[in-house]
Amino acid sequence: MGHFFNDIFGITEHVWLGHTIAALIKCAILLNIVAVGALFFIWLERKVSGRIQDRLGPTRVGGRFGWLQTIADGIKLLAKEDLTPAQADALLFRVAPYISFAASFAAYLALPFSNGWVAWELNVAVFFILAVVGLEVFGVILAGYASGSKWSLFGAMREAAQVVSYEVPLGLCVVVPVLLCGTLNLITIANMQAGLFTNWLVFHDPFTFCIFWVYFTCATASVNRAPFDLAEAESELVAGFHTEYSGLRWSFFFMAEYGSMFAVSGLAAILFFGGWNGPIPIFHWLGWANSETWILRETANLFGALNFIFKAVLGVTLMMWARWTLPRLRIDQVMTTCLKYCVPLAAMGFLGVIAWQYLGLWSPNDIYLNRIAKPFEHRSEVREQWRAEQEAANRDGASASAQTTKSSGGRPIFATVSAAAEGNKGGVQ
Amino acid sequence: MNLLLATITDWHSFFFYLFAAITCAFALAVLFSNHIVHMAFYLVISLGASAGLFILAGAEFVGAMQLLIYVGGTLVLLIFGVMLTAQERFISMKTRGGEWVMGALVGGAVLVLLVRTAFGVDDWSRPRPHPEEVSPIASQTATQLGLALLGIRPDASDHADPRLRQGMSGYLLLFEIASVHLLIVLIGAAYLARTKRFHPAYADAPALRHERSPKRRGRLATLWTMLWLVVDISALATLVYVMARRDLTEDLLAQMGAPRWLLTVSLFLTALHIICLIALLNWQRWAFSGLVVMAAVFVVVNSTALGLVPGLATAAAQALSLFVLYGLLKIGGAQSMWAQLE
Repeated sequence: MGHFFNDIFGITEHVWLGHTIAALIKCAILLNIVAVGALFFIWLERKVSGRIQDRLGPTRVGGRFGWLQTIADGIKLLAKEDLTPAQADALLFRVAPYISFAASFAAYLALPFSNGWVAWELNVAVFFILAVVGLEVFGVILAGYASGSKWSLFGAMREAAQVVSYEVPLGLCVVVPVLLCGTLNLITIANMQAGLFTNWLVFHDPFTFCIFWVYFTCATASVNRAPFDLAEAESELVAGFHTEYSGLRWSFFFMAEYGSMFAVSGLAAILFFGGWNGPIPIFHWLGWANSETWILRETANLFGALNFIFKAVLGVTLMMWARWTLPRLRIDQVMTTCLKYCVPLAAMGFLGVIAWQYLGLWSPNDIYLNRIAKPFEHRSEVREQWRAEQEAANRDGASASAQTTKSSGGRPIFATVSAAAEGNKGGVQ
Repeated sequence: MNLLLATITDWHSFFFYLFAAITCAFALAVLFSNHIVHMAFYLVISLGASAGLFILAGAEFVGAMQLLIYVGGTLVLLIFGVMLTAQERFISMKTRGGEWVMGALVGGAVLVLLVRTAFGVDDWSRPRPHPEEVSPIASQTATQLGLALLGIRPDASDHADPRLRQGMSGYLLLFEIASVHLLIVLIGAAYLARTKRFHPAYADAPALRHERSPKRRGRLATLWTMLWLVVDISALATLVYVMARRDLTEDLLAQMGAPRWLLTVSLFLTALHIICLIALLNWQRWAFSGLVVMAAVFVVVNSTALGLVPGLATAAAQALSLFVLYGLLKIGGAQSMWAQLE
C-alpha cells in the first residue's frame, strides 16, 4: 500500500512518505471501527437489555430507535470532571485506561476483515491476537491497584485470577482450528473454509462443535463479560475496578471492553464460522472471489467483510443475551467452571479432533461433496501450502473452485514429515 | 525536524531507534524506581518494546511469544508476587549499598558476556547495506520452529553428519527437559498454594521459634566463609570473562589441555558452591554437607578433565579448607556456630 501511494503522488525521493500515509489510513480506519463499534454496541446493549427485561430501552435521542443515545452519553462524559482520588497512585491511575484500550486496539492490527483486508498480514495472527487480548487485563489490574480503594483492588484481584485461569482453556480451544488447518495465519484458515457452510470448522465434527461453545464461554470470561463480570460486580463492589473513574477515562475502559468483545467474536467467526465466507458461496460460483479483475474481486471482498462483520456482531449479541439472562457467578463457581469443566472439555475435544482426523471419519462437507467413499486421503492433507498452490493454480488460468483445489492440492502430512526427516529440504516451508 | 527525518530515511530505522530507546529508558526506570508496582509497570513496557524489536526484525512468532510469556508473566508476578504477599515495607524498596555492588557485579558479568557474543556475529562487522537494496523479508511461518522442537530440522538437511541430517539436530530433548521443569514448578506451586490444614502438634511451633535467642556468629568461621565466598565470586567472574572471549577460551583450553565442557561445568559448580556458602551463613546445616559433596565433585571433575596431579591438588586444597571451616565452626562448645545450625 505504501508503494501505491508513492506511485500516485509520484514520490521518488522520500519513500517513507507513502508508507506514512498508508499507515495513517489503516490506523484511522481501525480506530474508527473500534470507536464507532463501541458506540453501536452500547446502543445495542441497551436495546437488547430493554427487550429482555420487557421495556423499550432508549427511544428519544435521534429519532425512533434512540440510535443517537450513545453520542448524547459521550457528550455527557466529555463534559464530566476528570477526577483523581487523593489516595490514588496518580501516574498509574491516569495511564491504566489507555493501556486497556491500546491492548484491545492492538488485536485489530492482525484481525482480517476479508480476504486480504487486514492492516498487517501476520503469519502467526492467531497467536498474536491471543497474546494481545490477554494484556487488556493489565490495565484493569493497574486501575484497581492505583485507585487506592478497596472496591477497586478487590475487582482487580478477581479479574486477575479469572483471566489467568481462563487463558488455559481458551488457548486449548484455539489450537483446534489451527490443528485442522495446519497454519496460524487467519486469512488462510478462513479461506480454507470456503464453499458451502458445511465446510465451516464448527460443523467439521461433533468435537469442534463442542469446542466452539467452550471457546465462547472462555472468551466471554476473558473479556470480563457477565456472567463472568466479577471485576465490576456492582451489587458487591460498587463498580469494581472502575469505581473511582469518571468522564472520558472511564469510557476508555468501555471502549476497550466492547472492542475486545468484537475482537474475540471476530476470531470465533474466522476460526469456526468460515470468516468472510457466506453460507452459500455465491461469489465463488460466479467466479468473482478469485477473479483477475480488481473490481470484481474487491466487490466479493466487500460482501465478505459484511459477512464477517455480521457474524462477529452476532457473537457480540449472543454475549449480551447471556449477560441479561444469566445471574453472575461467584468467584468459586467461576474457578470451578474453568478448571473442572472448560479445561477437561477443551482437552477432550482436542484429543477427539485428533482422533477424528486420524481415523478419517466423515464430516458434513464430505456428504456435500460426495466424498464419503474415500475420506481418509482428503483428511490426511496438511493444508499449509493450500493458499500458495491455489494462487499458483489461479496464475495458470485454471479457474478451479475452492473445493476442487482443496481436494487436489495439499500434500499428505505423513509424507511431508517423513520427507523432512529424510532430508528433503523443500519438503516443509 | 527535517534534518532528523533526513537521517532516518526509512521507518524501519526510526522504529528500531524508538523501540530500543523505550526498552533502555524503561529498564533504567526499573532500576531507579523505589516503588515496586511502578517497577513492574516499567518492566512490562520495557519488555513490550523489546517484543516490538523482535517483530521489527521479522521474528513475529518470537515477538508474540515475548508478549505472551514475558509481558504476561510479569503481570502474574505483579499480581501474585507483589500485591498479594507484600507488606508495606516491601512496596517501597530502598536498595542498600551491598545490593548495588552485587547487582553491578552480576549485571556487568552478563553484559560482558552478551557484548562479546553479540559482536562475535560476523554479519555485524560488514558494512551496512543501503535501505533501498535490502529486500523486505517475507513473513516467516512458525512451522520450522515447531518441527525443530519436535526434532525435525528441514533446514539442517545438508548437514555433514548423517545422524544430525536425519533429525538428531532438533531440540526435542531440550523441549522435554523444559516441559518437565515446568511440570515440577507447577507441582511446587500447587504444593505451596494448597490450603494449610490446622495440626494440633504444630499449633505452638511459631511461638517457640519466636522466643529463641538471637544467634551468635563466630568471628573466625564467618571470616573464613566470607573469604571463600570472595574467592568463589572472583572465580565466577573470571570464568564468565573467559567464556565471553572466544580467542581467550581457545588459548586457555589449549594450554591446559582441557576439554571444552570444563568451563561450563566449572561455572555451574561454582554457582552451586556460592549458594551453599550463602546458605551456611544463613544457618542451614545441609549447606555443610553440600560443601563436602561439592568438594568431591570438584575433585572428580578436575581429575577427569586435567589429569591425576591437578585432581590430587584439588583434593588436598578442598579437604584443607573444609577441615579448617569445620574446626572454626566447632569453636566455642555449646555456643559454637555448629550447634546453632538448623
